Amino acid sequence: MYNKKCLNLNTKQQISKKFNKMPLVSFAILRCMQILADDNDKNQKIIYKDGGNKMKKVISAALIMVMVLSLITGCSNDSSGNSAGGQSQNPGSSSSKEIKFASPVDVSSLDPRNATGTTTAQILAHIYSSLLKTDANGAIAKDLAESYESVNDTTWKFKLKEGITFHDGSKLTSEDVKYTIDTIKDKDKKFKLASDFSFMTVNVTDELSFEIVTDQPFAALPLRLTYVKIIPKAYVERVGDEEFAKNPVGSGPYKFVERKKDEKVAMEAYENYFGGKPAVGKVTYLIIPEAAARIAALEAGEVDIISNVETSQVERLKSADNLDVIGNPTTRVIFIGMNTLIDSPLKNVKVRQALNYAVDKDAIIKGVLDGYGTQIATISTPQYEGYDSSIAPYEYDPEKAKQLLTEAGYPNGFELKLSVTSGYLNGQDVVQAIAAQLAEVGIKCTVREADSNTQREQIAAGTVDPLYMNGIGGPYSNIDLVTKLSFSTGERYSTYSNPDFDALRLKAAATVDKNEAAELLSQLQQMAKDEAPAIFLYQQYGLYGYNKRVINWTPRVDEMIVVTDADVQ
Amino acid sequence: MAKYLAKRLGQSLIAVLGITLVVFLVLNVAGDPVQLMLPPSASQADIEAMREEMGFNDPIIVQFGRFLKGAVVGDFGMSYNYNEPAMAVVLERLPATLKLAGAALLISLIFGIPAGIISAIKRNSKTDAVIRSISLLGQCIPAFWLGIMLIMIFSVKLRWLPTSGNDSWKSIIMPAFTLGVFTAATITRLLRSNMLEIMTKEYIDVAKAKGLGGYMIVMKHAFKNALSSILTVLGLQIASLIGGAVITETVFGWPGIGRLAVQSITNSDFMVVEAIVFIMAISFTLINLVVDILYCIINPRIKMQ
Amino acid sequence: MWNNLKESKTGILGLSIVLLVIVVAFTATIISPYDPVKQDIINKMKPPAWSEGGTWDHIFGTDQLGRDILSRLIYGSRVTLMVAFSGTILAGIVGVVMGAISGYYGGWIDSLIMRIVDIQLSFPFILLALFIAAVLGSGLQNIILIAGLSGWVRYARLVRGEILSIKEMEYIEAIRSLGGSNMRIIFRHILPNVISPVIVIATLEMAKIILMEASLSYLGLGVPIEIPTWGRMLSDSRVHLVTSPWMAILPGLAITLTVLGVNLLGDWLRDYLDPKLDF
Repeated sequence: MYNKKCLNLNTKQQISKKFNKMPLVSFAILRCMQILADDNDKNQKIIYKDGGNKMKKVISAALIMVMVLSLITGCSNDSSGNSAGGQSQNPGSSSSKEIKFASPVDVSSLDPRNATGTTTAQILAHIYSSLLKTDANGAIAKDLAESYESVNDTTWKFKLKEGITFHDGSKLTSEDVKYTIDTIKDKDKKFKLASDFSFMTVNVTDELSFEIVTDQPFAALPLRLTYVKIIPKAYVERVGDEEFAKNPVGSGPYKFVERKKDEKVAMEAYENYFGGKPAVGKVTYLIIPEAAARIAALEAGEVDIISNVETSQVERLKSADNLDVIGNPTTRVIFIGMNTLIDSPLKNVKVRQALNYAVDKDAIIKGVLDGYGTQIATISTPQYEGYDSSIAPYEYDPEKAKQLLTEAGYPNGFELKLSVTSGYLNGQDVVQAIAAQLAEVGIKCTVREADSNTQREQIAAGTVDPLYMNGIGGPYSNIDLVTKLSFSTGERYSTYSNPDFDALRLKAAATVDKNEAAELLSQLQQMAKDEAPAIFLYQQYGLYGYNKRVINWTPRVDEMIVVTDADVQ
Repeated sequence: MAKYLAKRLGQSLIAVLGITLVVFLVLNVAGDPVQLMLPPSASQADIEAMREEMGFNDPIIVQFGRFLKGAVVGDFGMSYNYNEPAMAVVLERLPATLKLAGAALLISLIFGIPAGIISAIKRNSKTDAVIRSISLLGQCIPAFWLGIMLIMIFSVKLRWLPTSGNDSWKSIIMPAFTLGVFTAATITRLLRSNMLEIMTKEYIDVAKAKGLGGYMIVMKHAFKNALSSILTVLGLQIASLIGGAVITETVFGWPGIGRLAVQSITNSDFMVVEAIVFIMAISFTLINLVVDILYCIINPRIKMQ
Repeated sequence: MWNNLKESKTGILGLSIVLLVIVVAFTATIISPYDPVKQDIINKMKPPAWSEGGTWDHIFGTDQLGRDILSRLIYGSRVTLMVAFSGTILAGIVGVVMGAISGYYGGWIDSLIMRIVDIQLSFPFILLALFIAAVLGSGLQNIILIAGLSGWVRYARLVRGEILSIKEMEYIEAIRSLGGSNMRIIFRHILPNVISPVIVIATLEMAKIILMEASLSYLGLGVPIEIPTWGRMLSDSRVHLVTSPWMAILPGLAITLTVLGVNLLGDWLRDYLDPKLDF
């Protein structure tokens, strides 16, 4: 067709200048319209004489098209440096201040006993309080609890802070804690979180003190308790579960005002919040599924904080005076799972290692993720207790990969299927880049887009494609849980089985002594790396765009947007 | 009339039943949502227990019987995603979709009818050519692409309209326009060709001879006659409007049942999917029935068959 | 036919667009400047040549993995055509056969098939496609299957109507009395009579299939990722819309123009072959 070498710089500039104002496409459309305008009518019975000048209609059509197209193409050059307009509120008393933030999905339920998913958790974090909570970095802090201690392997003693009230004015006591746990566990009520709390019992000592007894030793209890929001017994019993989910009452910094499904959740500051009344009077969560629409809403000043910013949009947002983008590593780990349960070359550990050497993680993070990713050695993140930073990730070494493949008996490589689901930051692009890199060492991948639910079922059934992109993270993750779920024999999200690995993990989980446990966890991480049941990639980043008028807000490792401590200027 | 209506109602009922049956079977092939109903930490045994309890292990005929029994009274079970009765989840979002479809219909009538009439009266003029070109383009542009382009121009570039949501009258403009373009184009083209056909008929000449003004002829005879065919098309267009809402609502984040349908299909929230299908099937049959009746009122000469 | 076409400028325009797309699809390997799946991450999201920052190395710019958009558009035409033609043919065959059976045999078979047609017509096309895509999963064959499953009803209705009017004609009676088999009557004598309206419908339905493929790809239920298609390109562009609008504009225009061409051709065919038809 065209020969790029023929064009010297000078002609290039001339041509591009010529086309700058009038894109090729508008030419094409213009021509169509002109031709259409000339067409004679098939059904014509009355002859209509057109004496008017044809040019006029062509010109007017042309003007419209050029206007529209220049508007569209003009967007590419516009970095939106101009301010977002006068929609932001004047700073003033807390009741007049408002923060609006937006994510792609709606909350699943406002009843914390049914709450699953990060989006839901972030809204509940405003309305409710829990015994313990995690700070932005994932460290456990006290929330409703004044103090807590482990009495023995299975018993924990808690004391509540004094003077805490629910939004309806009633006092929060040990009975409410007991009621929360009891009803979550209640099999008849079928709450989604039931199995996560079924092994614990609350024994009330007095109004503010109680014990939690677990069926087996469970070292991760404090972490798990960060996820149970305490609900008001009297109110829930009075109005019933269904009404409670519609008009929730908690003890958190914000009162529930209104929910419009798939649209928004509105909240307002609670005067008597035990942590002090929040600085911002109104908080509204908006659901905006389309990525471009979220960006546009932020730029237009319709919202103050947005999540799930695409890496390609970062520069644009940063270039606006009033906006900024912040990215932070989260506890969500992305890896390419390997199905070792079906017959494939992946049963050979050398092949699995070869795959790890063949993927240039650094190039992917820089190129596809624009730097928003942190390479990690396995699936344990630095935020987890027992993380061993001395274990280095596989380096990029295609020669070594080829050598290992030859040793394993595949000097000419082989073909595999690789599936990906939506929902991971630039996930589909990452997978396609990985496929291209694997092709370099002779492994040809057919990339398939899978429905996430279907893929989950296939993983559970062991019938998933040999390679599949997966991500693991979430509210109560730690090394034990992620390795258990992802790489242990018979687990739902595991397509790997190794008795030695299982034994080591179980030993680590049952070890109470912290130093000893750390040593075992370190061995576990090393073993995971050496056995390579996955292509280990990176920690996913949370990318948020925000209006600079919001202060004192930081992104969290658990991907939630929580603005309870924030203020606006 | 009553007999005809009864027959039509009977047929509609069969159609609704048929659709629900098909959807039930299709979704059954797709598997069950138990995996998603439990947290990741649940064991395979928990899942099996849940499956048994929810009745997913029963023979399919038993499941369908149970499903039908519920469907008759509008009970499609609980949405696992929203923890509410599936029907309630759908009904809650129905007004938004009706509002959007209504606005789109209004826009398509406001643009389509005058455009079609003008196009027919001023046949082969510049105006006609422009209207015909635009209406043809309207049928060729992918709706979601049009929506995206509108967002780019009016929200990102010009900042005139909000990108998404259902907050003010401003937020409905773009989605309704996006959704209405195809219908408007269809109405324009149909009205034009119908009116041209009628305008050439003899009785129009008779009317002319009686001395009525040219525009009056057009309005009274041609338009009235063309209207009945417009109505027929509208019946079908309403189906495509609600179908188009699936895309439009996703693009503009409109909180209606179209977006809910997409979400529920990808989340395997089958109870909601079934409820949506049921509601849609009923709406279509009702709309078509109304169209039939209107058809007879406007055009009494046509006998009901 | 040729003389008639020459007189209709829209017909010529439609035919030219369709021919252009066909030629592009068949010569993709020759005319495409780059390998459409070749990634070049360093040069990702380059704007088109006429925009600021664009180069003539990539006339239409590059996408989020640095793939050449022009090459992807060229290769994308192949998938579009394949889906459109296969889907149309599948729908046509199913529809014609069902319509023929329904119209010729009548009775309960007729009632059954027509009820199915009613059911399907009273249900939005895209929702049906969405269901099937969700159940069957994504894939080229599945998209074609969806196109076939959702498009057959129009043919069935048309063919049934035509057959009902033809089969009472005297010469068919004569053939039957001479011992012609049912199959022979259907295939030899009835179907040739319905071929022209079927072609008209097929053209107009083809436009719908192209739009459907794009819509499904947009909703993430289209053809596999690695195959470049216009719908996939549009869907890829969603998240980069604000900063890289060309990624959405170009494939969108390609779809619109192709659908326009097919529709214009269909309009002309209708006027030429069967002016009675009205839809």
